[in-house]
Amino acid sequence: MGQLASTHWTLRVENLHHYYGTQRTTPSVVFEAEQAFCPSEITVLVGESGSGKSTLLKMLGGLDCPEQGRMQVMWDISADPSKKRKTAIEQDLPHRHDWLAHYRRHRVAYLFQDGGLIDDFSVWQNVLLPLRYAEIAREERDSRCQAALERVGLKDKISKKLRELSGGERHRVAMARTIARQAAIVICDEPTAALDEDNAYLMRDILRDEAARGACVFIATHDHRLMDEDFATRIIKVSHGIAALSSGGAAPAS
Amino acid sequence: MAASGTSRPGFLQWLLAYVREAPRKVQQRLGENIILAQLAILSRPVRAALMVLTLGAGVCVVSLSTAIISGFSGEIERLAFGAYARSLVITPNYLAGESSRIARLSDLDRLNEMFGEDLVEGHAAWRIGRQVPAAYQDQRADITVFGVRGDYRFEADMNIAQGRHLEPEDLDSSRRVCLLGSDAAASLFGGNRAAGQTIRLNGLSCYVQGVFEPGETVIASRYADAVIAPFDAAARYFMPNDHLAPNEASRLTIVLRSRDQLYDARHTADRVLRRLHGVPQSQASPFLFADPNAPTRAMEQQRDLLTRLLTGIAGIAMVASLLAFAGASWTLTEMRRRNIAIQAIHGASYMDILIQFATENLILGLMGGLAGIAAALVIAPLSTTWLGWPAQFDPNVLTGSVLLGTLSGVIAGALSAHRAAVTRPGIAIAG
Repeated sequence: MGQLASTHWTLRVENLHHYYGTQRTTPSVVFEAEQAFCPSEITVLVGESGSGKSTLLKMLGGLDCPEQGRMQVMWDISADPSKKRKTAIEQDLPHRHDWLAHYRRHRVAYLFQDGGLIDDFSVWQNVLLPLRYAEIAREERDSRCQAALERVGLKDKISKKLRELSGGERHRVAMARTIARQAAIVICDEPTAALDEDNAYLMRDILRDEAARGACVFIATHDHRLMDEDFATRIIKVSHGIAALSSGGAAPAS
Repeated sequence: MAASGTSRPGFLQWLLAYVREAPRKVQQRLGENIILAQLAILSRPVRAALMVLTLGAGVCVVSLSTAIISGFSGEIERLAFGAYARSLVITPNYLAGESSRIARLSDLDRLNEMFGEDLVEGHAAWRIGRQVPAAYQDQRADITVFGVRGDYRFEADMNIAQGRHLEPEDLDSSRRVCLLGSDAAASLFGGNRAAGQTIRLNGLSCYVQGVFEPGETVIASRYADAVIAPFDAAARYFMPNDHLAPNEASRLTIVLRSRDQLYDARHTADRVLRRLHGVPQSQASPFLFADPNAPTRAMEQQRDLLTRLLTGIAGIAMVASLLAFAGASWTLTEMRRRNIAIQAIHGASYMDILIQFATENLILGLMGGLAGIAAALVIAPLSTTWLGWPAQFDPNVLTGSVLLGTLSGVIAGALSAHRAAVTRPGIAIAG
């Protein structure tokens, strides 16, 4: 929980616009609302395939820069179409370059539908990967990896290569990596899409635990089990690239 | 968000902590990237082995071919002229008319004093006779007699097939001993052993001290059908009618340590000999100074042409190998763009990616280079033994080919990694 020690952070999002292609006339994804996302919240993005859920998640996770708009909480990602790569996270860590990499390294855990794993590496190396970049002490990261793999039931397969695992096991490796990361923001793109019933419930529990730990969780999904009111704090509906608050949540306090 | 009110003390604290922690963090990050590079290599051993082989083959070809070219250059020169190429050869200048002189043994001593040991590696005075009758039992032949005092082996650069060489005490005496050239031995003795036998030379008995193997150099082949005897013995017994006084020589040979000294040595020798023989500068030189270096230079030009050709071929092989290594490095890095995106999503910075891939290619390049050199070092002696190709390795070529190979791999890998690292991970993850 070291990275979540501060309780002052909220992720404030204002009028995000993202364009695909070279034509900058019509944005592909727009999130015009002004929203504040707090620790321990679970935000679910729903919508048809190709509606722009994943693009919105990528902006929230620092994988893509919004060309217009503003994301600001402890850190402020402001985007300017003419200076796309010079995004600053002002309040959090001033005077540093490579801001987005730093943001991803220290704040975000990303869980992909296909796991987003490196096939050449072993289970252990995959879980350890984000912790290598997070500058965490060796003992601390080893204990985190052990605990995470135990949580998903893969403790006896740490030296296996990814190629030797089944699809479900690979997904559990990705879950373990997310748990070990202990990030402030957890972003999941279709986390239960390819999972069987047991693994889907395991995933649901893990995401709930992450929120309970203090993480701000974002999920893009078609799975109705993740849209329950007792699970999701708020639901954002994305349709044809336009995102709007559907239930829960509140406008940010000034 | 209260930014400006609280950020100043927070920033100072952060800055101090950052400066304090920076060295440890840099070391840790660097270490992690090196570990990741090793993991990437070990996770695909066949791929890594192929990369190593690609570069190793190129380095091996270049190292081996340059070593053989270099070996052959030395060998060509040795076979053509041996030490004769750096010898000052002094003979009478019969075209000078009255000022022509014949060299004396004392001239050789004086010249040696002048040049000193720093310049001179060896010297000899030769007395060259016409063919004289030789006989062993009922076998007869006409053989040229050479009388010599001094280091005859620089010119008669041949191994001894039977018996032994003439020792200094033999050469300084008038003992009737001799060395037989291979052809001379064959004509008198057939296939029988000649060393230890006594032949008749110009009607006088002469003990055969040894027999030469056939000469390898052009100069040494002069002595194949000849007899070499001590200077005084030749003068007194075997060539009495050569019109030379006992202390006069047909030819003086001074072997210098370097060919570069020949020009100066020739002028010094001319000046000294003119003074010794009383021939003023206004008259033609009493002696001729042969320029064995001239044919050597001509041969060097041919050799350089050949060397350039072979070096060009080796260079093309090296460039092809470097391109193959760089291309493989580029392609393999491109194939891992998704992995790079995954690493970037989980916090790898641009520099992390660059360092990791540069390290990977550095390791593979060094392994390839060293493997290539090791292979060349193993193959070279085998080629010398089986094919008779001499090899002479140049450390600069070895180091250069390894560094060049490694550098090309590092640059290709780093450029490709750069391309992948600057692509937004959200796009790169899609493949």
